[in-house]
Amino acid sequence: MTDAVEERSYRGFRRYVFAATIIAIAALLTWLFLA
Amino acid sequence: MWILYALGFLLLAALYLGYLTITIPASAAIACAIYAVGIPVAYVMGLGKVLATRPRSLPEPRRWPKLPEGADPAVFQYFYGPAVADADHASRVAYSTCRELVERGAELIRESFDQDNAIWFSAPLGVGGVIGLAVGAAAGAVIAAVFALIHLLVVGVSAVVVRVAGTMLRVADSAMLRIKNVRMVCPHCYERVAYPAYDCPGEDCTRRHRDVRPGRFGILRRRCQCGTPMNTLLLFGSSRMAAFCPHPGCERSLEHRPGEAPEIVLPFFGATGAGKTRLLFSMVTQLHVWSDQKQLTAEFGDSSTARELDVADRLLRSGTSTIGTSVELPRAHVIRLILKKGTRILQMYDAAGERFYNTDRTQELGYLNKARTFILVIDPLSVEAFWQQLPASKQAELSSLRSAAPSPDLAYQQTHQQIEAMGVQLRKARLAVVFSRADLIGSPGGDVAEWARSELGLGNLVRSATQNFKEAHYFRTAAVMDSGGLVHESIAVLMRWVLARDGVELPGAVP
Repeated sequence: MTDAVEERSYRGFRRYVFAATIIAIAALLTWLFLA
Repeated sequence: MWILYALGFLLLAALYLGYLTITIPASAAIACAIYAVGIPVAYVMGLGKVLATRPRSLPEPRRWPKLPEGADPAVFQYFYGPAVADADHASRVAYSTCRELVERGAELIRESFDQDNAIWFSAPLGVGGVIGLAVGAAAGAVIAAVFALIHLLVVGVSAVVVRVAGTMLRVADSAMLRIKNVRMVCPHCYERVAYPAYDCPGEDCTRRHRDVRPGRFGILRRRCQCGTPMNTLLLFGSSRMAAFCPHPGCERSLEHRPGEAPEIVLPFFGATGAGKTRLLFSMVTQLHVWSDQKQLTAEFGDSSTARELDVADRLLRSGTSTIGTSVELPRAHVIRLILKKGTRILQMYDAAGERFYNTDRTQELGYLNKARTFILVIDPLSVEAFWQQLPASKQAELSSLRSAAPSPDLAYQQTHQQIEAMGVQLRKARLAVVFSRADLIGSPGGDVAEWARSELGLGNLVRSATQNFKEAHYFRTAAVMDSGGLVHESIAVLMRWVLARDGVELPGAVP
């Protein structure tokens, strides 16, 4: 029960962290290639 | 002939050397590229599996935050533990993928040295592979580490933002309560309630959350273990949930939705039979009269108050006596007053007179140090000097109504000392001294304090009240109701004075 509740509770946060990390990595790589 | 062989050998050696110079760097470059790119990609894929896709094949995380003993039955806020556990989980998933990748490469390299017929051609590929794998894996690991660092940075910054937001919301909520002058008191155990505990509003869920404020279980909302979301702050409407006293040993229901409005603690004290309960009933009835006249809205704050005070107007109208108050510790009668200028929650405490004769019993009345205005009720008939002045016919008429309790001085002194002992600064407190039964003995007019001094011989009491309290006011009241359903005007006068300091403007002129 709690696992399912946790999954549901964290879904949004996890996606946000993943998206933010990918954006940050992409920004870093872009900066390295352009520099 | 041997020259031809030598030339042939040299040609073959040159060709093989050329082969080596091309294949070794090429295979090294390819292996290096595969691992330098593959390892970070494996990390990102691991991150994606843990944070986004969460396939069924995802292994269980090794570390996961556990609820401490006695903690609220709620799910941790993501950035209070689970986010770091996810980072650890993602790195483990990525490590496992990278290991597979490296093992596959190592297998290919081993095979390149294991070709009996073509070892001369496959071995250089293996040598290049070894070099490429070593350099690529090292570079890939560094890049993946940078990616992991970025992930942790995102988690760290988010965690800081979430914690700061939580702290700010707690401060804002506390400030809001302070500005609105909301200080909660449990009507059962008389303790100050910093924040009520709440039951999960989910159907069939009976889990109780002792502190729902922003913190490790949620900032704007928390989630009960049953999955039901709960508001974390009174600002966000947590008061709509079923509230309970958070103090261990009490934990009783706070039906009056504490936290929504300022609470006014109003203790009645005085000797047995002085008329405290009757006065309380008449005040409640007066509030209902105003409520019926649409001048304000007065409603019972909880079912217990409704049960006990529902009969107040009938009892007052019939003129029958109230039954003696139980000597048990009183529970507050809670009335919700909705006025044009806001709402107030009135907590009225009516303890039995016996509680005001000795220190031990008075000490138990923990609500006394939560009040700023006190109501002392005195039955003038119980004052021997006054009783002796009455004509014999009047004495015969009133003897059945006269309180047989000790002098009102005793209850006053006892309570006054106890209030002080509880740390209340009397210079900041107000006292309403109410002489009951004005309907029986009449209202001679003039200064009530002077009347108490001269007619009742309560000079010491009047002097002490006037000297010790910031404000002491004297009233003569008649807790009666006429046939038209109107409560005696003295009750309204008393109520206006009592509630004026708390910003409550009751209908009618200010005395």
